[in-house]
Amino acid sequence: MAEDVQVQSDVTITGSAKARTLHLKTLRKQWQIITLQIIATAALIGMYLEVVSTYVVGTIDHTILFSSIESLIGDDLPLGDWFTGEGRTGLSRFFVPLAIGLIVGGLMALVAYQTPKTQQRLKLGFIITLITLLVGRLILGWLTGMIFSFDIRLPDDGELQTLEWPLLMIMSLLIMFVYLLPIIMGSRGIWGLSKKSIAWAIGFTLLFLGIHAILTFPLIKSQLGDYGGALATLESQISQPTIGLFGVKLVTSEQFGLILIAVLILVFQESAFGVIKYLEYAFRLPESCKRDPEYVKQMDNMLNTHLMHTFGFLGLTGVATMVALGFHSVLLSLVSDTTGSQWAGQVSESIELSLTYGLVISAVMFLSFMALFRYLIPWQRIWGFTYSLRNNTSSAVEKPEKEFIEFQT
Amino acid sequence: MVEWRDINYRRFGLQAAFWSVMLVLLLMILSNFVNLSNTNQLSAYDDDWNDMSAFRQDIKDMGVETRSLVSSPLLLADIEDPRNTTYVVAGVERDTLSLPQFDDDGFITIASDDGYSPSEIEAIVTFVENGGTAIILEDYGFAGTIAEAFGVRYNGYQLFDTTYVPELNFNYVWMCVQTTPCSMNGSQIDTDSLSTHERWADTSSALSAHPCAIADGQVVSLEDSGVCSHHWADGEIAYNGTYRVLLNNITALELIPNSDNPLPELAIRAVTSNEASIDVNGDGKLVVSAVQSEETPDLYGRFNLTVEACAKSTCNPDDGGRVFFVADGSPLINAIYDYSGFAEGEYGPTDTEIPANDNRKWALDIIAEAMMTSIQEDGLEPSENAMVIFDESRHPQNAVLADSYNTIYFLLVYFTGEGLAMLVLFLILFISFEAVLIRKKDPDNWRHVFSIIYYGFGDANRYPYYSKVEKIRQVFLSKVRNQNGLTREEFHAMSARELVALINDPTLAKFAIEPSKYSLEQTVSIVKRVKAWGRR
Amino acid sequence: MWTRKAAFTFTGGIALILIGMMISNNQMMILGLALIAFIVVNSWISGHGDVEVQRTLSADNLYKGDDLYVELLITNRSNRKTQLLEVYDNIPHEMKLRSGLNQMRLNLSPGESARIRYVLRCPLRGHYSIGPVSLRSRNTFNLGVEEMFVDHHSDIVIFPQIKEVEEAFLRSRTPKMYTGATTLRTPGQGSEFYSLREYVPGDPFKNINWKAYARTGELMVNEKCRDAVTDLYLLIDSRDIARIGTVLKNPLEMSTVSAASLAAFFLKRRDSVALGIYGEKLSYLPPDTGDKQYFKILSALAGVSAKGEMPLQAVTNSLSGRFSRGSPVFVISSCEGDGTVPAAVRDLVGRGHEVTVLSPSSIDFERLVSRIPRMSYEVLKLERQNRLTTLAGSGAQVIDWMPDMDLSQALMQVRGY
Repeated sequence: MAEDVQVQSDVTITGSAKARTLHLKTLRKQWQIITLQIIATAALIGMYLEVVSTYVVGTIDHTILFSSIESLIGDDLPLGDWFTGEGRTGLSRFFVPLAIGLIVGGLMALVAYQTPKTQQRLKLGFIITLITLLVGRLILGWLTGMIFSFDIRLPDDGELQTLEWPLLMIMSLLIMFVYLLPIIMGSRGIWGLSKKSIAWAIGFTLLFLGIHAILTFPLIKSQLGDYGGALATLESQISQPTIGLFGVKLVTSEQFGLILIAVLILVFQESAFGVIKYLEYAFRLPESCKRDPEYVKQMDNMLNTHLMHTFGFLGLTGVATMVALGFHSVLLSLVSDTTGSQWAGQVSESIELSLTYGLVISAVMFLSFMALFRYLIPWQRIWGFTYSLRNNTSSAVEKPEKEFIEFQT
Repeated sequence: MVEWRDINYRRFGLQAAFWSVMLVLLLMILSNFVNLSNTNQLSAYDDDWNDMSAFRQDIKDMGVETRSLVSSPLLLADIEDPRNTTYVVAGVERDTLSLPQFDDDGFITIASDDGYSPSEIEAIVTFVENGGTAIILEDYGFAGTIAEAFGVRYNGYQLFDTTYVPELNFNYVWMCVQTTPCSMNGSQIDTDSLSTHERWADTSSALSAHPCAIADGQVVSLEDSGVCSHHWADGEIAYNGTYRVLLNNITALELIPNSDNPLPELAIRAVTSNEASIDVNGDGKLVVSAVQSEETPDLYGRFNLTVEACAKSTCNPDDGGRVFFVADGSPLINAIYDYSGFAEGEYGPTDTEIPANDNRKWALDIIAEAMMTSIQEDGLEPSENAMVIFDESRHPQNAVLADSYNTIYFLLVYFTGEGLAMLVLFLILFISFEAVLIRKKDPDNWRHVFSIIYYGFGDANRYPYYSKVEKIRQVFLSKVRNQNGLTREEFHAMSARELVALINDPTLAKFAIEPSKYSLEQTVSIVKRVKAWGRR
Repeated sequence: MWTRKAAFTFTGGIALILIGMMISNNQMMILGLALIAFIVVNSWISGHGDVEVQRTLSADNLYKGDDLYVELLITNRSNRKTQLLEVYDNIPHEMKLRSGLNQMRLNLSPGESARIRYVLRCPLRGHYSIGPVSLRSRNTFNLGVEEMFVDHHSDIVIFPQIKEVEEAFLRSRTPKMYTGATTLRTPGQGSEFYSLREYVPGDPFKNINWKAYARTGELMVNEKCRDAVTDLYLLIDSRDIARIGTVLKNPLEMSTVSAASLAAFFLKRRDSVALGIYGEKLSYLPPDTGDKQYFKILSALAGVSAKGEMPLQAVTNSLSGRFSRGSPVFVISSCEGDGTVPAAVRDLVGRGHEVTVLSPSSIDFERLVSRIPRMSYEVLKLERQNRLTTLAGSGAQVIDWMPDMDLSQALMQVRGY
């Protein structure tokens, strides 16, 4: 018995082939991790574009803000139109800023990998550049002016004029930063493995949606006057569904956009946090475990499952939400077909149904049914069956050498 | 694999008990709220003789969308286009759920037995103020509070008039929508006493006249006649401003003087004859005199049957909201509204013959005026968003499930629409978030902790005892005795001199024989000497 | 069970739906519905399939301070994946993880197995049990967590260390107490021939004297002489007071090490060794020789803990009748807090036993953990010396064993006071 016990495999590795390990350096290059990060980035971009196209473009987007500032100051802002997307229409206004946001986020992630000393130097360099940009020309002009005229004086108007450009530049950059905050923070979080940044990206998006929702609440919107009118408002009454599955129309295209936002937020959150979760686990393993092929193999298993579940379960979440939203029509036709009662007619025409109340009741009912499915349908057996079909592994199960151990919970 | 024997019966039983208690509680709550009734009537979605399906069908045929409201008028706040929406309350048969809410002064109240709660009334008032049209058809029921909000009061006692239909009975009373009362000539209304609608038929004022009256004589096809299709005859619109509306079991309307009315313009559109009387004490006898007293409690004279409340005197829907109050809940029931269909037995076999009346014309004219588009090019078509909402929330259902569903609707709407309930809901949400934050803990991460807890301390209390002179002396004497191989008895038998000789050290000998006080330093040196003693 | 994340997602979902309804906002409502749908969909997969766990140890018993290699084999016996499963092997706190980790997160395919290997250092003697194996399954998005354990235990005995003491006995200044194996004229396990007797079922075949069989026609077996000088009696003090000191240096720990070492030494010389442990109660292992006895003694010593306050006299009173005459007796005790020691030792000496008192200096152990005032320490030490002198006066060999002293070094100190 004693001789059965082997030491961890890392000790016995003698071959020249370099075994894969769970060191962060190698793990970060593993395809599953990279794929998860790419999925997260794609979800982030998708979410951002969807939010922007639903709520921002054409109503409160940055180009409108820039053009109103430009008309206010009577001059062009220093940021080029190619950069801001001014002059373009629709969602294309956001393409260049989006790319720049991704690059900035990526650079911030790169910085996060440097040593603290380098990081500090980079930050310092950035601040000094900013200060130079801001007051450099003023100080240079002013000082040289004083030196040439041998006289101490306050800067004159011409010199103060030099402040205008940098101030406007920084203001425009700040505005762009606020608009791109989810993208910058999100990409920094995904590639720089920062939970905080990811939380910022999600939090800012949700905050935006929340504030927008409150501002477009009719009571408040009417108080806002003209400004309120500028906000894109979602219809609170629901029209006929146009998008569906298998020929059954379930949701309107507007609702579909909203579902897409919700699901993309979830995809972004789960894959971005998932990467960090696995890397954290690997990081905390002792050195010998990092080299142990058993741990490496199980890490692969976990990552593969995560990838599959990201597609499977989050896709199912979207479908379930869609079906839940369209479920009222099914329910009503069922009721009116079976009872034909006054109530069915009255409910199917009810204002509550078009005003989300009925929708919510039926959606929650549908989701409750789905939750009950967990007990009604032997999922475990179904999963098991599909696995055995796919892998034909039932034969691979060896006969146990020892008696089985019963579980106690 | 779960074995049957592994199932924890205790847990299973507890769960079952818990859920059954919850179910009983839920049923108890529902049984309080759910009000089943087989006398469901006045519903626009049922086709009994006393329902209003014919009216709804006519509206639909007009090209106007019909909707029901099954929970609470609180939802009127969410209507996007009140201008083109008409809200119909026909017969309020049940009270609202008495849930706490804020009243006008910001205090918490529980809705009284008035059919609609203060916040619901407020929602209706807001709806009308935003340009909506409301039709309140009611007699002795629960609509009083709505009326009072607009400066009108339902008398609430049955009214008897001489203009009843003698073929039927005195409950069926004619109402002529005109300023002067009409009278009877035998079993028919005296045509000489008939006049036209004061506002609608007066085409001299384009703003206040009925659009169909203005279109009178216009040659259109039936398809293009739009909201005036019920006036269409022989290729043109033939508007007739006379309205003989048949009512059943009516009461009277009173104007409340000096009320703070959101719609300042109140106009009486129909009255009773001058010989009408109201059975105030409800004893079925009419005892009247010039002055109302205990002996003669009943009232006599002319009473109001229809009141129109508008924002402007023109009562044009484009100028603001309007409310029509009628002192009867049943003018639109299938039996009266669709009297020909009723006679043909469409709503069940019957022997009763309802006389021809203008109920349909009158009702559809109200809808037509409210729904017609204000866009000139569209002619007589209803406006694009035109919608008629029937308030079904105060009609009892005849199935538990249906009424429960409506109750859930009501609770949802109440909790997301009423100020106090929203506050409570926010509080509940906040508390549940806090609860999750505080109570819900994830299992700790596993970690092996190498720790050895060991208590290896001696009795520290004995240390001072061992630095006492007496103890030191005792230890020293034992050492002396041991060193010399003496037994206890031998040692005790020794004289002092022998002991001194045995010790052979004056300081220690003195210490051993003469008990006296020693300072700390002295004690220390004594102990040192004792330690060294005997090592020769 | 729902995790915190799931609970938050759920309450958040409900809150968003309700607030969305309050302010007639579809986005909030749909976000809320999506969150609830997320939980619902994820609740479909829960728990894990049948998992078999098997633990193998490199040894069932080992000496204090040695390393133990553990291997845990987890096999998925079901037809489905286990999903995210955390496996944790519960090991006693007294053992230190030297390398590897006693846990793993895994996701086993049907039939797949994973090995967790780790090395434990066992710094304390005793009887230990490794196990049970805790399992925690989560779904991928950490919304549900279920915990259970496999009741699979592996027992292990950690013996006290054995110190080399031969040299001490060879170089001891004292007259040779024990002269080594001489034949006793009693039958038993030994090397020299004693007598011939008739075969009794159960006798080993190798003892059959075939010549005698050929001669007499009856099965005869050789009986051997018992090889032993004598029986050695070890009396160990495991009273509560013996715990004083640090976890690794205290009178009891020293006593077990010395008893184990002495037993090893004498058993190797084919002597019989008996062991009496007294504290809360008296446990006695009658004299015997051989590996089996060695194992018994080590096991008994592994399980000793400091408890009770039984006086030595009570032990000698009950045992001395069973001691074979003149045999040496080792009393291993700090002699602290037991007034009967002199009398008991005198009694044993009086019965003709050669008594050696091996006395760990408990006051010096106490000093390792408590600040004893200098003067009190000196007086306590004097008192202890008096006590040992008394014992020596009774005719026993007394060894004052200081904490930092090796056993063999201490044994060489045997002297009469």
